[in-house]
Amino acid sequence: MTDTVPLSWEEVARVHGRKIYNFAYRLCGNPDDAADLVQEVLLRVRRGLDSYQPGSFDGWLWRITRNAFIDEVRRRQRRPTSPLPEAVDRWSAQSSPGADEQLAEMRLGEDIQAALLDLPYEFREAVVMCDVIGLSYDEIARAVAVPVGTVRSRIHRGRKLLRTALVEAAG
Amino acid sequence: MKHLDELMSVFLDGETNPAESVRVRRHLLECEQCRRRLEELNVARSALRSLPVLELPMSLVEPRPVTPLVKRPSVWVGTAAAVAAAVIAIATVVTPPAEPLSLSDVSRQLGARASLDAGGVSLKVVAPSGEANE
Repeated sequence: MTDTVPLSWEEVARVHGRKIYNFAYRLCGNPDDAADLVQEVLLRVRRGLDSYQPGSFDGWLWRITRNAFIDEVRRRQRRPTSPLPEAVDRWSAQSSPGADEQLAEMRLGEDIQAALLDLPYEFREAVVMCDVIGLSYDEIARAVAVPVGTVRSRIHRGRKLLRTALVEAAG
Repeated sequence: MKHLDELMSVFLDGETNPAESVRVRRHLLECEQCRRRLEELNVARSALRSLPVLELPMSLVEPRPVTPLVKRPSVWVGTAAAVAAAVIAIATVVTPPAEPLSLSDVSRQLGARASLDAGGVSLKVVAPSGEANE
């Protein structure tokens, strides 16, 4: 991960925007909410860039992203979960399921996203940061402000629950 | 035999330290149950990693129009200013002066003509309506 500070808000959007969007989308399953979160994160980045202290920019950015998401979840706590848009089905149909035979018969993207949304938030966040975004355990621990041991446990329990849900969906 | 439990996910991610890696490998050689669980965990891990990467909507990265820095005063600001001006005006009229009024003060504040009577004892004020008050 880089420690250099992007020069501008636009550069942060260009370099990190897609990852932030994917993080938000996988956590909430809704493209509009994900886009709103990206805008909120970029706004917070724009406000915070002047006071940013050189260090791990990625760690700083993911802390902002995670906090913005938590704030948004709290704000919309009473809103019902929106169904997945049709476009997700199209993307899922085009995606490659990989080599895993156990998943060959599943409607991959849709089932995985649905199973993900059923996970408790802490587990969902941990597996998305690890397996979708590709952050290391240390980076996740810094972003979420928990010990690495907690990250280990959350990822493991998240995957166990996800695997059970996928098997049930396939059965 | 103590099973590996969460150490298996850590091992899958390459996040075990050297001592843990040795322990996991040794255990997997002996424990069929943990080998099966490791495969199951890898199913979930592979499923997440197989999700397509979504493109950022272009609307989020396009330059935004520059918004003017000068803000129009709000209705509330205008109302507050009017109320403040009215309070000051009323206070100016009703507040008793610290010193006796001079003729020029009376004339200026009440908009009236003032004059002393012939004896110079009483003050006669003629209001704009023409009524005289003593």
